[in-house]
Amino acid sequence: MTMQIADSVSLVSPDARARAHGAAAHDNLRTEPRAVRIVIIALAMIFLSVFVVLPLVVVFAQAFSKGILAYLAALAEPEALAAIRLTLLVAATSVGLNLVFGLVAAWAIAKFEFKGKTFLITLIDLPFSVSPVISGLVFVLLFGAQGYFGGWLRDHDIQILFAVPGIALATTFVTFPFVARALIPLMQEQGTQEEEAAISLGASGLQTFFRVTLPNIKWGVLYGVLLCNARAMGEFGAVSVVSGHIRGETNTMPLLVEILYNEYQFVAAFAIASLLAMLALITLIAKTVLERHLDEGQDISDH
Amino acid sequence: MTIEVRNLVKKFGSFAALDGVDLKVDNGELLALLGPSGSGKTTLLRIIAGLDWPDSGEVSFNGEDALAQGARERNVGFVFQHYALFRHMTVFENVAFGLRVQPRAIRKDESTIRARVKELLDLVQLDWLADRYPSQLSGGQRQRIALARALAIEPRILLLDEPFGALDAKVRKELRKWLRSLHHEINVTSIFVTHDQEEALEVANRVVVMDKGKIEQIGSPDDVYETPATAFVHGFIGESIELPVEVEGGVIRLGDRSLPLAAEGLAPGASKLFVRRHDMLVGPPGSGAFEGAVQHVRNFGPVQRAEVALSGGETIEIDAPPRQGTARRRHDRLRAPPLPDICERLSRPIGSNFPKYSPFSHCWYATTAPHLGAPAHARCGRDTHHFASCRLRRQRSAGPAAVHVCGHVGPGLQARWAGGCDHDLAIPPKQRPRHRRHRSRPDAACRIPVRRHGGGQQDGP
Repeated sequence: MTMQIADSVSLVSPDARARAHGAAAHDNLRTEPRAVRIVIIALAMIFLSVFVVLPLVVVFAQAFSKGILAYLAALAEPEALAAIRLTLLVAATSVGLNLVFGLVAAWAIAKFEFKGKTFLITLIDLPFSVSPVISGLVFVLLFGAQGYFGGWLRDHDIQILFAVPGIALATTFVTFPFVARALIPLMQEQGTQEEEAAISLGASGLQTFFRVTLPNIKWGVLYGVLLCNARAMGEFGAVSVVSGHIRGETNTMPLLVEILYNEYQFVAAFAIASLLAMLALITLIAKTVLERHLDEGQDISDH
Repeated sequence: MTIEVRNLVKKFGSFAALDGVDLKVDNGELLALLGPSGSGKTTLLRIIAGLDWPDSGEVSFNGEDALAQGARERNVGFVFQHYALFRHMTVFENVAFGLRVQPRAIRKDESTIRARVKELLDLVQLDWLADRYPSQLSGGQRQRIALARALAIEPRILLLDEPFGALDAKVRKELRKWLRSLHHEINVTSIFVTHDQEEALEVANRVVVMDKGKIEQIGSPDDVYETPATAFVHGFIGESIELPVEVEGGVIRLGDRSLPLAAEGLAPGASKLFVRRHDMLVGPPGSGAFEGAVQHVRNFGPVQRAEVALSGGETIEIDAPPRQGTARRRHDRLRAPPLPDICERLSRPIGSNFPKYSPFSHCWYATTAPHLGAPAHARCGRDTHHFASCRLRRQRSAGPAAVHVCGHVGPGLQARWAGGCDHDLAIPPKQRPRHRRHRSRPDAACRIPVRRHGGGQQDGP
């Protein structure tokens, strides 16, 4: 397999070869000899194959090891369906919340000058720098029976921990930076001139946002949402702490994979895992497409 | 629409972007805010537009308080330096934007909007670009679209922030002319910000020179060029020679030489003297106010530039238009005498301790060999006019003489002297383009504060 890859790399279209020939003197100065190039590329390819492609293949191989019927049956289990439903619900909630918060935060940081701006930027990055397990524990400390709000919540009969709200909160916390981080540099680069132009032309705040700001950042928003969604669906650590692993109720897909695996139900475990893997692949493709759009968006900006 | 700004103050932290600015803009005027970067001109423009708010002061449009209104209500067209076109909309939609976001009650129907946009695109001569996106346009085209977009809302005031700053020199020059004629056509009260003095002097009816958050001078392009109000304006507009002088007992001294300049009302002490390069002439020894030696003479374009070492040690560069025929001879003579005097028209000395006084009553010209085609300055209008040539001498007792500008002769002007002697005088064109306007007004009578030197007209026209 690696040989094949190396071969295909060394294949160059006649056209490109002609160009390369023309610039040969130039090329020799700045590129390594062909043999070195092939070795380096092959090394990278082998490494990626072993560490990335192989596991992916194994996931699907294991999932289908007892045939497609067993695979479908594993997915049709009520527990599996419940986990998929819960994962989708949690992802939708946290993506929705983070979309709003992320937009607001990015807007505030990119378009206004205020005291504590640097502090806010640091805060946005906090969920990335804290271990997900700690993030989960924070919510246990806040909403658990012994937590700060525990008593009050119990008195009012509100269940947050070991229930859907807790999972959604933990996921939202962990995935908060994605939308904001995707938008801040984009909005900073675009500046406020178009908004100012819109306002001086008589547009209201809402008209400015929907007609000028949002169209300009829509690819960035989609990019942030995509990454946010991928992480929300795949989050394990924080969710594991707050979920309580109640079967059919508070198990998300990653949690279910672990449980099934521990119970030696390999086909079922890998069937669910294959769904997550497919999500990853789709995310990857969508990300590539979006990045192209983002680059184009940048080209359009003046100068 | 008149705009009035009173005592405007705006601070960014401890930096005062505007430090007590008063300004009145007349209806239909095309006003330039000119100053170096950081002088507060853009801040002033943004406050008038409602994109920024002052710390204190007043802004009123036609007498009504504009600060009570937001940018949205002021109905001001704003053109940004970097165009700020909506990148996701076509040119057509960009121009239509202001019409589409109007409140439903007064919004026009689609066909009216289309007709209006078409009309505006015709006005900026870019109707063929309606379906393009901003990224597909050149800089000059983008700026014209930005202008059309600003005009779509029929603004009461048009504000342009460095409108040509991001364009290359050639396009900039074209657009300048275009903006002037456009303003003539639509006649909206307009203010534009620029750091390019040539742009300000060429385009605007009036120029406001700003520095460090304060207005240094307000006046016509001629005023700010010819009679700068402060040392800053003199140094900032046009090229000036700056000489350190001392005021002592009613006499202005440069080194150990006292200058024939009136110093009445000036406080004693160190000060600065500003002189325009082209207001100095070279003459025979002993005839002028300064003494020095011509070091080099270079010819380029319409001017001859001489580098002169003054007796006090300073080296200055002066400009004189080269003259045909005599030019070569003059050129030679410039080199020949080791220590020729330099005759000059001294501009008003300006410094922190110098009060204002009329500059032209103290113009001095020294005599050189009389011949025609010597440099002269002709200006008509309400400001002082002077003709100066090497055969004309200003004497302290001399009163003003009248002159008629009769028409063009070749590259120069023909002037007819009244009183004393009728004489045609060839006047080389001034280097500055503003003067074309004057030349296009034949037969305008001008008063001049100089008088022909008695006798000596050996040379005919």
